[in-house]
Amino acid sequence: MNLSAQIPRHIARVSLIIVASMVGTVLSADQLTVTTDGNTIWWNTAPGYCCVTVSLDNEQPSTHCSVTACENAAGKSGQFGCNRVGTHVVKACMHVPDSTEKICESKTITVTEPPPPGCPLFTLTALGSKVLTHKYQTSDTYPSGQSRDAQMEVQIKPIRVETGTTLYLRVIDPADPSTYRSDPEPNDNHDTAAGRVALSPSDSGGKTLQFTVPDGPGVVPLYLNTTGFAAGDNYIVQASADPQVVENPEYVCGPTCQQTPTITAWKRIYLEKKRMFRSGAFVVGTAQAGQNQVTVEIPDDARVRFRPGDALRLVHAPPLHGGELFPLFYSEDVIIAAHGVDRVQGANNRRVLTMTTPLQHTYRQEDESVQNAMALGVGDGVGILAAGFYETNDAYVAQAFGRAFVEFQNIATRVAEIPLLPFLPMVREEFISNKWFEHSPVLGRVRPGDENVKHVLGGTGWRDGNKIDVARLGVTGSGITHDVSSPNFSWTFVRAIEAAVQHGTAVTGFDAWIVNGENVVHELAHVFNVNAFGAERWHCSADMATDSTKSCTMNRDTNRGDGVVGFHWISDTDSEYMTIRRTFEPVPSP
Amino acid sequence: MRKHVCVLVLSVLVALSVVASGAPRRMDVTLSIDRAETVLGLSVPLTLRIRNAGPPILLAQRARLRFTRPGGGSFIANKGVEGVEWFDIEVGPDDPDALSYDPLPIGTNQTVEVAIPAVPFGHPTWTRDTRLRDHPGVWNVEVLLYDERDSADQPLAVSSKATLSIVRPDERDMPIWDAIRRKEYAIVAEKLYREQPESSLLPYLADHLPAAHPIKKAEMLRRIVELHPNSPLVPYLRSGIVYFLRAASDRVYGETYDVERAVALANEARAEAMKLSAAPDAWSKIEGKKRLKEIPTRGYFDSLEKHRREKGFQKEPRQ
Repeated sequence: MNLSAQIPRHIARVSLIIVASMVGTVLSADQLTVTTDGNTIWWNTAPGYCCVTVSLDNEQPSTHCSVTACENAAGKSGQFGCNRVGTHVVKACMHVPDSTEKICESKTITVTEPPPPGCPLFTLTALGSKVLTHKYQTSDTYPSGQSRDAQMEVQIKPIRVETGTTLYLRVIDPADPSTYRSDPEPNDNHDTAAGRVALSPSDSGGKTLQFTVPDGPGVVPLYLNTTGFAAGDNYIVQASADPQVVENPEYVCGPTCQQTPTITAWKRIYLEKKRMFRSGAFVVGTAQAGQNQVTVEIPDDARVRFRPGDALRLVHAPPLHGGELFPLFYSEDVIIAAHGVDRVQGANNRRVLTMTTPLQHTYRQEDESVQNAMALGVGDGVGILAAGFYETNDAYVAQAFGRAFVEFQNIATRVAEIPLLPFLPMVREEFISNKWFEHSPVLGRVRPGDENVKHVLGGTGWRDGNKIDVARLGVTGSGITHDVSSPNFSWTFVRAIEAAVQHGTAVTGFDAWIVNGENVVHELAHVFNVNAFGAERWHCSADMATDSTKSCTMNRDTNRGDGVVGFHWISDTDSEYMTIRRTFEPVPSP
Repeated sequence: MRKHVCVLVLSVLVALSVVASGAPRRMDVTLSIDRAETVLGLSVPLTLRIRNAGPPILLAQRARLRFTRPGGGSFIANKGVEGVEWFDIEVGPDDPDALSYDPLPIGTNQTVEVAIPAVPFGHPTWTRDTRLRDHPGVWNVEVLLYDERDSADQPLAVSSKATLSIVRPDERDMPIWDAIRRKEYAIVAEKLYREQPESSLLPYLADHLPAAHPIKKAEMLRRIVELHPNSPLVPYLRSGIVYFLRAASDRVYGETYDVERAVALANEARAEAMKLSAAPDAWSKIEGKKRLKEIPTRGYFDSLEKHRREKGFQKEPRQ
């Protein structure tokens, strides 16, 4: 290595970075220019930026993007019309090419010419149309326009209306747009106490409001407080200088009235997903960080063969009974060395695996509290990556639950896989489920899960003698079926499904992946304790509301495998959709 | 010798011809329950003595239970989940290559004893059937056995009836039972172990006692067995002692590479397994034999050492 030859290049590289920074600083001074043309405000941004967001007086910004390469992107321009007389602030943020960096610049401009007669007296804007009942995860973000649970910001922008004028607002409840309901009509929201508009975010507000138009340009923010649980409840805010808007229930919003688009409440549920190794074993004893060997035990009834060169993933979870001061979940990938698979005397199902590199972490058998731990899936494990996974297909979740105004979001996990169990212990799935469940305030035998976090797992299935039970395609924990409090797990038995589509069952001949996806929807619906009081006990015998030629996805005997999912709606009180929509949050264990 | 061989061959041929001709099955199955009474929610072992007087059968490792109230209706018990009605019976096949649920062959004029064990809280069993869970009283119990080759709707044999009286818990134990109903098993287990180890509920909660080391858990189970030698859970707990001592031998070797200590623990596990297999009840005999086969020998640890020395990094063991 020629050190002296390297030094000049290093200095040159540093110098280039310094120059580039200086150029960046200089460049940011005049990226935005604003001018007026009568009552209209014009803005222009410099070329070279892909996307520009521009806002006037803290209104909802608009975004302008180029389809060409950013370096050659032309400058953007636009206008704001119908402005009040006075000083306005235009703010533009420009995204630096090939970077997450943003440059923002604000300019003030004074409008002296009054708005033309064609401009409205004022505008009424909702900053978003979807409002979450709750956002439980702090790392998550609200939809546009929302910064608090169950609250949407609404803005009134006075234009031609005189300062000191009283404006009147009311919140109305438009008909539910769901196509599965036969009875949608105005004022059909379930949470009738919600839908209140306030002048400050901490006020509960009222169904009606009045306020006096202030002097000067700029928007007046208002806060619509929506339901905290009834997903699908919807609202429109109307405003007018005519007091009839609040005095007359029959008032129809006309030319002198402004109204927002429909704002709808949604629930957001987080999914912690796990998939099971198709081939693997459990760790025996302890394999300490720094050593290159691990002894493993192949589960009963599994046919697993480890070979030199196999890429493995080791997975660790803290002990099921808890007690660790700093409980950790981790995993790492290793390769079996040449001649790295050895049998051991007297233990036909154990192997010593020697890796090409030392372990970064420690892995151990969970052996201190749970009798027959391995048979219950409780213990660190290893999987052969090339064999793949039993994993869930969530392709149909958005379609099914979107109609119930529920959206699911995957939550990050430290460990995505769980060890192989050829057969899950029947009605004792809480052991393996809770052992590997990360997002819970308590990491013990009982794991209720963080607020609105649901644990979804893909695995094998129940046993039927020496075969997989093809009659059971999944299970969701409930306080009635499982002998643990707050069971939070929802299984799709992928291995059982793959066998069921081959044999003489209701799903024979269907695509296993599609059946898998439909089953995920079925099990997730159980999480909301649907049909709790029905004759079918958590299931139904009804047809799908959106297609009466098909059975509801919660129908126990439905031929699940056509890729169409949906629930039934017989009445407001007999519908999985309505049960799901109205479940209080955080969504409890069934 | 040739005469004996001829007789043997003849017997086999007769047996096969009997099977081939569809000779009727004749099974005598006697169900016994070692106690007349149990408290609501507490399971007891069910032992079956099966004498096969007919052609050979393949006994499936699962059975159904039928409960009948004298003078009343009957039902097939479930495990607290509708439709989950199969109960595992321990049969302990001798073939080490057999899959864990392979059926048990029972030849003509052969008698075997099998069992459905008593299990702790947290295990799904017949006590969770809502028709039993909330209804004390006197019940007649029968076990329905199946041949692996037959349809699941067609029992091979039905056992004799045994009577079991299911009673309400003692009023003085109600606070504990309320906590059990709320599934606060670990809290109740620790409290009883600390403050009321004589409570007859402790064996049923031992599963939920946390321990920092398998040796510690084995000690706890030993103490419970000493305090409750007649509890229906003793066989399960003894099996647990074997399990945790064996686990301790694996852990000790993995953390310290101390072969002598690991072998000592394995030998201790072996001694417990032999005690278990010598117990009078059917389940213990079968379970003890199974556990014995799982316990590592010195040769096992020696082979681990050999692989470690030949291929492992020389990491200092923890002291």
